[in-house]
Amino acid sequence: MSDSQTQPETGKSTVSLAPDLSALAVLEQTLEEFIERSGLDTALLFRLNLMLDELITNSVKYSLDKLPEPRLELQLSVEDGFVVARLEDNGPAFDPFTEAPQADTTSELADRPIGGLGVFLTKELSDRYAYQRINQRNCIVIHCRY
Amino acid sequence: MELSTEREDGVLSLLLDGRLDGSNVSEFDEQVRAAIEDSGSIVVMDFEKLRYISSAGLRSVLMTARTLGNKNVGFALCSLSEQIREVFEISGFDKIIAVHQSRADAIAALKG
Repeated sequence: MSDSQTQPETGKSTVSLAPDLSALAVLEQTLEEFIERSGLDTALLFRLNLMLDELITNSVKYSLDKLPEPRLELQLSVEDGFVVARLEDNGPAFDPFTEAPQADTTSELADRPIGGLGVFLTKELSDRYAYQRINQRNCIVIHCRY
Repeated sequence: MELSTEREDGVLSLLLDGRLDGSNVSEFDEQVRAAIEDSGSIVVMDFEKLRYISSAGLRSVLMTARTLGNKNVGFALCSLSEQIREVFEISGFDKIIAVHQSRADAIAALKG
């Protein structure tokens, strides 16, 4: 379930996402449409999809599942050479960039712990990432150069 | 996400098609677990038709590598897209799981 709105004057696109993992399929479709409409390189799709997938999956699994009225919203825009993705949820305050477990990318197969990889990939693949708590909402902003 | 299997000369090939993410990884795990119960001595995961994988999918591949390692079954991946290969490298997975250009290369390397 999603409703997408585009404001032509700013190129901003806002989508309300279902607060469950069905959001991932809507995410892909939303990004495809945004990239096509903005005339951006389709190579950006994989990167944007992966970063937002990881953040949405975390939000859905660890935060929104405990709320009576979960909200998850994605806003996409193009600003000064960057795709800017802004993801907001109304879950309890949680900064994934500082509070998620640290990823281990060097241990041997048998010892490799399994957590923290999604946030690690988001940090690595983005050009800038930020977290803010605004009006009882978690707000994550990712910049991705194109 | 669709998973198909091919068995030939003691080699089990798992062919992934589509997207592997948090929404379908449980089903994928189940299918892989069932397929590798009778694995033969070599298992190759062919990513040729895999167009997307998230960390949920990477974790699943890691668990399969571990399970097969414990059984002394040879395991490798092949035919990764450039973007999936990049994700493997960033995650450091290329250091613990063998990655080859093609299925034939993977099988040849595992047969030694």
